[in-house]
Amino acid sequence: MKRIITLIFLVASVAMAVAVAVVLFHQTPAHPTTQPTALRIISLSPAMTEALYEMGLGDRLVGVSQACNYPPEATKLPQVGSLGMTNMETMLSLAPTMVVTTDFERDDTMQAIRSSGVQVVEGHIATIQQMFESFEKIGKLTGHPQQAATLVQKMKGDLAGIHARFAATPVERRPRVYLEVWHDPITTAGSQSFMDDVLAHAGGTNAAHEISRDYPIISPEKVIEWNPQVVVLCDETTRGRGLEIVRGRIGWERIDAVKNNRVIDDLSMDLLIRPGPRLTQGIRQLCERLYPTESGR
Amino acid sequence: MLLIQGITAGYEKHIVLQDVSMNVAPGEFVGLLGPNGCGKTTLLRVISGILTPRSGQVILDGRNILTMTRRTWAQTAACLMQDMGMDTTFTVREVALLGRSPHLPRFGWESHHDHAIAQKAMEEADIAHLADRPVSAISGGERQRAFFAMCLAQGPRLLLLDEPVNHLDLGHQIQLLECVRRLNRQNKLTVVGVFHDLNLASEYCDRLLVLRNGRIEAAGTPGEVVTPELIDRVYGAKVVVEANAVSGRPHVVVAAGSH
Amino acid sequence: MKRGWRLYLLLIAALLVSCAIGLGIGAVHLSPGDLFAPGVGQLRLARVLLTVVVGAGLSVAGVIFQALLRNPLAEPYVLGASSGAGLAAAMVILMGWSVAGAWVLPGGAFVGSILTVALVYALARGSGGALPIHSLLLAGVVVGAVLSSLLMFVVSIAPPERVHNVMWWLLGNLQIFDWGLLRAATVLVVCGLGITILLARDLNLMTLGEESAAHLGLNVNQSRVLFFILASLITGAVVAAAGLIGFVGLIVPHSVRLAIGPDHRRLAPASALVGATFLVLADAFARTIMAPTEIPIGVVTACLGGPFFLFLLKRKRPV
Repeated sequence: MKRIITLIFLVASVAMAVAVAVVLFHQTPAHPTTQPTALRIISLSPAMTEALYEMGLGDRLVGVSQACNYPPEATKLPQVGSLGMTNMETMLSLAPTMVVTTDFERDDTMQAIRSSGVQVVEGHIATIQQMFESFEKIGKLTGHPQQAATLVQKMKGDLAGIHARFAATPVERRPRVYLEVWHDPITTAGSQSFMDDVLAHAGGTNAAHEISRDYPIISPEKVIEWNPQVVVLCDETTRGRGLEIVRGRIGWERIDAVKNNRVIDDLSMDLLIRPGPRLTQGIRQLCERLYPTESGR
Repeated sequence: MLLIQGITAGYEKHIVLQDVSMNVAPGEFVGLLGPNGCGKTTLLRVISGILTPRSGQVILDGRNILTMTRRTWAQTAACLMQDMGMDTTFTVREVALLGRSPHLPRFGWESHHDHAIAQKAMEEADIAHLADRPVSAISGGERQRAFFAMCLAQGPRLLLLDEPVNHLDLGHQIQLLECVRRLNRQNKLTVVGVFHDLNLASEYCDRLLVLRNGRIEAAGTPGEVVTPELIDRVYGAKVVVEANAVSGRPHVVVAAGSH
Repeated sequence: MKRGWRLYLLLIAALLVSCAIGLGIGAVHLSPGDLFAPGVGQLRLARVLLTVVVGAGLSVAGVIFQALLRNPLAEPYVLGASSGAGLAAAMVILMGWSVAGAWVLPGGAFVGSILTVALVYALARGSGGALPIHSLLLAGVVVGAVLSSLLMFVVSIAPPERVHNVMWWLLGNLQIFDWGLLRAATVLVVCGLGITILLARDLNLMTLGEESAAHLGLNVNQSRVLFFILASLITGAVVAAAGLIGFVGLIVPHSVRLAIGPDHRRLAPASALVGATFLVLADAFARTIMAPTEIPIGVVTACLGGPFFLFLLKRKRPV
């Protein structure tokens, strides 16, 4: 253990030394943030990468993470690592002036980047409202507030259109949805999660809303007791076999969603869990599955 | 009782015993002597059937041991080693009962008969008073007597000893060997033992075999074998051999400064 | 003999009581009538049954390994079964291979654990069939360490949201959804336990050391292979059905030995009963303390088992 810590420490200090060297010899501009023309952004957040392209800032991006798979142009940019595993050397070699980070990144890495004079924009997003705020914030920081406002307006308009589909259905009659984030052990999305808010905007009621956590491991008994009318499986590897899998579980065959054949296993999770510009597409798809007929019922 | 013919044996590429032959008559008490690494313990392992020799054969009670099952072997012979069972928490009685293993049916428990035999074995080994103590909680000498009781409970006709009194103090050494001798005399128990201590071997054994570099160097009664010349040749030590005042057997005395 | 029966009656009664507790409490309130009805009742019944099987299996595997290796620190995972199973399970989870069916994850874990023990056995085996115990322990530790670092490597290059799932698997998971998996684990553990009880006397001889065991009429090589296969199959079945649950296989055999002595003919069945009882209670705790959220069973077994074991150790000296 001690040896591992020493090794990590050693690697980290070498990385630091290299970082310092890179910063010193790279001759970063003296006042990077004051000159919009010099804006060089690395986005580690797939959602924010999409948002930046949407705001017309795609040409300011100099690096992304491996998880940034949309739009297609983004995948052609230099990659600085995967979520939570970014390579600082690569990042600094791209001479960024701004790094947009995620919840997954290590605090010490981000601190080191910040202390080398790069602006670090953090984004913890647990609700759709926070997502809009993050767009506005990045718009302001990049000198594109107008474009950000347009994006937010467009998405709010989309949401309003989606809400119309179930507005006539009173809250207590909206379908009870159980979201399964992972199956072994059973993991769902509680009221502190982004998914909880997404579900509400799609016209569903989160069966696990009573749990005040983000992604809790729960007792499978509880799911039977909730008796959800719809089950949504987030593991895309089970696509096409969701109903069979859920029905095969001991005691789950009596759940309404199973009896009425309402197990959804084919939604694109990139559209649904990513707080980006395409979220409203995902919400619309989910809403259409929850309310198959136009007027609700 | 025991016939050893032309045994050559060893481990991997290393030959330890070369063409060793010996014959042990029923009721004999034979001691194996020799310096460290001469092959005494290897010979016992061959007799035990644990080490298969490269050539030669061991005939135990008229049967080649390679054709015997381990169970049959254990019904005929038993082996007491040094420092046994240091880390088990079995009681003395449980240890003695383990000696009944080769006689029990495959999935059976010990019968009253087996308990009686174990009780008798403990009494013979003079350890019955500690029957319900864990062997980890008694002294080294008592523990060796407990395992001796185990060997006796096997009902062997041949008893192998592998330096059984090493690490015991003098009192316990003599107590254990007296026990062995009594059974040897009274029950005609055949004994083959490896000894470290020349004087103990000379005192208790009828016949001695001296091994050197895997071969038999000398064999005979203690009086014939334990001589200053042989000890110098085998152990490389100059000693004086006197006669034990009580038994008349040879007694090795170290004379410091005589080199 | 008489006292023996009383002991078993007591232990069986304790197991039944703990099962009643395990069935009676949970995230959802159930009336006694609902227990055997389809739905929550059956789900909870399956879980308690799996917990009984896993608790018994881990304890018996621990008993066997402690006797074979003559090492009081031996536990079911001592020969790397856990890291082999962990690596296999992580690959299945991270690569998304579980697509192929519900049996891929438990099957992979089972194969991973058996292969690892076989590899350790092969590495430790000297020429001429000798199997020094210290080589076995060393090979187990080294293979375990290599596989663990491979596991860490696989985890380090995996997407973070999936790493969470692997970590949970590594902490043990008694959720059960498939009667087939429960049946398979039960058959393996019950058969393993049965054979172990029948051959328990051989384990007694093994604890004296291999040479002494041979002198007492045991075919040591044959017994050793048989017990290794038995213990590995039991461990594999348990790991496949429930992931890695630490401490049970270590402390249960020890505690039982302190209470009733080292005779494996009593130790094996009594450890199975005590292990099952302990795990059922620990799981009932894990399921209900923060219900409907569940906490990892491995954490509970360590936190409850550790102090209890130290208490026993303080009270009665020899182990």
